[in-house]
Amino acid sequence: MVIVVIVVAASVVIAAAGTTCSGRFGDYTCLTVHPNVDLGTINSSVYHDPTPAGGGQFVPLESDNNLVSVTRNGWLTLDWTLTVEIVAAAPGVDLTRFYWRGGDQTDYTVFPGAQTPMAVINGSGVTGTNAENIDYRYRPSAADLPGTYSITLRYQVAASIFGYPLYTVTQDVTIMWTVQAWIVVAAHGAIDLGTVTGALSDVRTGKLAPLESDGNPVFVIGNPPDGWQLQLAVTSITTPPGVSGDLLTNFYWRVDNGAFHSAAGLNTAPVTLVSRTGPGGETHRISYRYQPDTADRAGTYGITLRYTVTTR
Amino acid sequence: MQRTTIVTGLIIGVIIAVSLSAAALQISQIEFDLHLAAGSTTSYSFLVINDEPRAQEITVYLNDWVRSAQGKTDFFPLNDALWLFPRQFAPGDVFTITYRVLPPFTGVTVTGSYATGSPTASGKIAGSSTLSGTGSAASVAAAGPVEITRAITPSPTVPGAQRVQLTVHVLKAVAGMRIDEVFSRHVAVESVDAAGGQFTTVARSDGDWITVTPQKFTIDPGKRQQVSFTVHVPQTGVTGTYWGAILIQGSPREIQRQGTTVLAVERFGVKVYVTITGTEIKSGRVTDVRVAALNPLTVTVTFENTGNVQLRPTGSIAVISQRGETMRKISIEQFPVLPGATAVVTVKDTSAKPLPPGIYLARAAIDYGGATEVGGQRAFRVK
Repeated sequence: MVIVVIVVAASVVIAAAGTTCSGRFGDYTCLTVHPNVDLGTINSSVYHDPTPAGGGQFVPLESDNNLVSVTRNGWLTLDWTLTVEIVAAAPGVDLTRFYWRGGDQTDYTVFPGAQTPMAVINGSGVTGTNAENIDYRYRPSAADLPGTYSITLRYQVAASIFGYPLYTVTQDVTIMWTVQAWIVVAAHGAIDLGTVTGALSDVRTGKLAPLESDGNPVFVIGNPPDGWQLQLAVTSITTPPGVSGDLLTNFYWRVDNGAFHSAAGLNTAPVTLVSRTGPGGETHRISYRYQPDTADRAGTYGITLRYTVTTR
Repeated sequence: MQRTTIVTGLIIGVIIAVSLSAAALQISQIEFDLHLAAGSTTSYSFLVINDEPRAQEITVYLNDWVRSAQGKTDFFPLNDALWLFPRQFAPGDVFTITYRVLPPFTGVTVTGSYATGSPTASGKIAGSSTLSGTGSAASVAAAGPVEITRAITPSPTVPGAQRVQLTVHVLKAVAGMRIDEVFSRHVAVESVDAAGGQFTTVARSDGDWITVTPQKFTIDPGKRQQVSFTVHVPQTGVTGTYWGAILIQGSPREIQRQGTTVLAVERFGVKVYVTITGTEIKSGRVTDVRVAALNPLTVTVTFENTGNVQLRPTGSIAVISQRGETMRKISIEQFPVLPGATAVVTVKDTSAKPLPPGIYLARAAIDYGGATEVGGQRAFRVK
């Protein structure tokens, strides 16, 4: 007696959105994957608790409870394995900062690389549905340049019998996010340089010692591809009547261990305190000095300093 | 023995309040790079976030800006023409700045002002303010160290244009001077004689295209406020990239101590680039290569953007020996250049060893995104 086995393989895409079915010998398995996921937007709000000393941390973009289900609708007792892999990523995506978890993968993990499947869960049976919630996370950094990014994941169910692969069912889904140009600044608070009194006077030289405040930290972090800059300008000055000297000529500033610069002219053109040519963060220390002289008079003095942050 | 006078009873509390504290004003988005069609109208928004424990009054306004060859951004009033004089002036100095305004300028007025560096002073420019008119008003007696008068006449060389002359009389010694002429809307301004000053204006300003709302508001501690802006791109006569900025300024933080008040203000400059789609022309050239130092080897490359869109070139410098051997390869990181502007990029060789004596060629190759790279070179000798 000759037994003729007719192999019938069929892959049917059911009209329901996000569901693909495939089968063989009349045995079918359907894979339902959640819709595309928008993780959100990366801007200054993702950098939390900045401190002048350079502290702070990025808060990840997250999307939880994205449903992936495997439905058996067959007559064979099959073993099946659900896997997920990255099949495509937009230029500029750092795969080491994209995480997922779900199924047997209870902790967030990164993909070892593109086109490298990772097991989600295994099962076996004739009929029934196995549903898993998948969580996604992207950890931002200042290296994320402005733009729109995406990763395409491929979920695949591989059905087998007695270790013999029978058929597979695949479904792709896209995870996307947007990056805006952002800058975060954290600088030291108000500084009191002190009071000019006769105690500052050096009897031998007749000069007054300066009032100084050294090493006040400022931290700037951002992702603009052109970099960023922090500028200082003086927008107004008031002095007591009859004061002929110029307050600005007695006021000095410096960055880190550089030379002190006079503030003279800061009312006509600002000065760049710190700048960076690309994305990233830096901490610098700003020192201020006021050099009093004997022309100073008692009375009301006022100065308005304006700090401007922008991209280069 | 000569007795030194000691200042007694003098109390000056100098408090420098740096406005950008750890809890501060923040902006969700610091730059917009828009690609829009001519004649289009599109709206965008960003958030102003008050992380401070006090309410802040926020002012939002538009500015023009330029980027220097060294990459520094300077903001100035919208539709401004600016002259900077870093030098000193003596009483009795008189000089004239001449510039030209090209049509159309119907209905456009100009308001001028000056500021001196030392002593610190400021004032207004007297004279005619309507570009369509002519003549000059009688000068007003100056209360400050400088008196400036404006006269407007038809240009003798360019038909249809107006010639504007600012006559500056220095009454008291000053060091450093800034003169601003702010127009009620964007006009084409050309410098004829800057009198030795540094002239700046923005020919490709998009500031007049932008309307922002709200322009004044108060944010309570921990709260956010959305700021929206609409870009109305002109239907005709626009090609390439234009730029401007939305400035978000917080309220001064006042600190008083024994008669001295220091106000500190923080401000964010949100740049807005608008590129007219379908009109982009990328073009550039290297105009100079110089060896600024030998140890470490430091090379400056001057790149000019001759196109009409902002470029972000990258490149490299190859140091080649007389035998044709490439001794060094130095990368040039990405740098931005506005259309019509020049960038001077300085790169250093971080190799541990200096070059041995000999004659070399520093060859710069710049990729600005065009069909081909551009380059320049400079020979130099190491002794």
